[in-house]
Amino acid sequence: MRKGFIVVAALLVLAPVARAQHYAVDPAHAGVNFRVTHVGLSWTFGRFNDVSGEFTVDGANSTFALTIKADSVDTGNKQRDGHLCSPDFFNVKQFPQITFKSTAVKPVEGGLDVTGDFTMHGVTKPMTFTLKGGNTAELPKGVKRTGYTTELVLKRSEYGMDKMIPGAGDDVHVAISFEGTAK
Amino acid sequence: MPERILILKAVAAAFAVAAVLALLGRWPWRAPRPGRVSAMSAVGVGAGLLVGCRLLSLSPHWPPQDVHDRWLFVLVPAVVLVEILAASVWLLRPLRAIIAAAAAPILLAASVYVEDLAGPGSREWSTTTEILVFAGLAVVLVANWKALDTLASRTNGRPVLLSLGLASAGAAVTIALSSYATGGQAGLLLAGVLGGLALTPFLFFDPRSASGAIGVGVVSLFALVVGGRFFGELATTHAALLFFAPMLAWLPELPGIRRIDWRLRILAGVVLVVIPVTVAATQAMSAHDARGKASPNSVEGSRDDYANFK
Repeated sequence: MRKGFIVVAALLVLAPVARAQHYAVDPAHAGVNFRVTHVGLSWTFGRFNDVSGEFTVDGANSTFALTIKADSVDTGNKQRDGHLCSPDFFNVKQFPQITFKSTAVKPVEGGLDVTGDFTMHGVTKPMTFTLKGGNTAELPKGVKRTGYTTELVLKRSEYGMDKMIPGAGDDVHVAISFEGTAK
Repeated sequence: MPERILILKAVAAAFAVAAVLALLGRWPWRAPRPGRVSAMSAVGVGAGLLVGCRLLSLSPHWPPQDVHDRWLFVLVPAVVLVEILAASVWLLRPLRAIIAAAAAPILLAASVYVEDLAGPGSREWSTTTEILVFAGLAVVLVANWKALDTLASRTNGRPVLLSLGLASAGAAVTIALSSYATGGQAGLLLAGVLGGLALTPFLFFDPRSASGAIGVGVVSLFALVVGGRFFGELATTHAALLFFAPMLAWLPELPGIRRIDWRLRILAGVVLVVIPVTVAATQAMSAHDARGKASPNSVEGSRDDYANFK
């Protein structure tokens, strides 16, 4: 019994202590890409070039916060980008940021189920998606990083962006992929 | 339903509402009172705009969320109220100066220009810049409003309304080509209401009777160009050309030229207003085409094409 007690004590001492790890989103390795249908025939792709945020990985106590500058929208066409920034769509002079802030996280196999408040065009709605990933690496030396990806679909009309539907689709397919560097 | 027909129907409905309300101000028909016509024409313009926006699915939201909402749900009712009061009590006309001072701050409220919407220190204007811009815009609006109201007192108001209508039509085209399509649609409604009232027979029998409609018209034109400039991509020079164009209707009323037949003076005024409006619209069209040439081999649809697509 004494031997067993010593083994258990040794395991407790040697086992890695799970600690919350704080990360800052690495803007150079973060992408928020989207696609919408164009008159029902093909996809028009776009991205946001200015993404920032921070997150904490700690199992069910994890938190995620992401901020996107709406005027960084880029569809490869200046005329279209200008229209997207106008009050007809994102209205960037009134609603300059798109944000997500988590309220609950649940560890699942291969990732995390994240629930939070998504705010776009002045409208806040709850949103849940699964973040896949969580592997870690060290790059450059001494800088620990981790990364996650997710995909989701939202209806832009639910956020007050209801112009030119169905010429430009209501369903917006979003792919988010980001890395964070440990603070 | 093709969008062009829907827009025409909305403009027609807006004009009809405005005309009916304005004509109600002429009661009793044998002894109409200019103040009553002025007040009811102001109400008519405001109501017509709301009806037209409803038909175009541009109804404003409450609480106001953007410049369009603040224009229709805050500024227009305020101007209508002031015009009703000013029509009843001449001494209350200085209230127009308060509207002029408040117009730009109302339209630009809760925007990146004056608030830290993207985090502390992110507002685009310093306090000094904010004061200078708002003061400048207030002076511009007061000057234009006073000039047009004075011009209306020398005619029967119809040439001024017609000038405002033409400028609004030009603003509609120019703003739509400056990446703010729904702003352009609102301009068409304003053009239809003001131009239609200018041509409505029996309505404006006295120089003071058009004052109310002119007040709502000039403030609404101001709101359109401010919205296009600060929330769309309307160039500052185009905004200035469009807003000041109606003042060119003053030139045929100058001493020496007033001796010319009144019909020729009205025609001259229309031509003078059309010139800067055309310049602004043409330049906006060129800039719009140049931006679209980023994909030279692409055949891009117009806004109408997208709106009509089912």
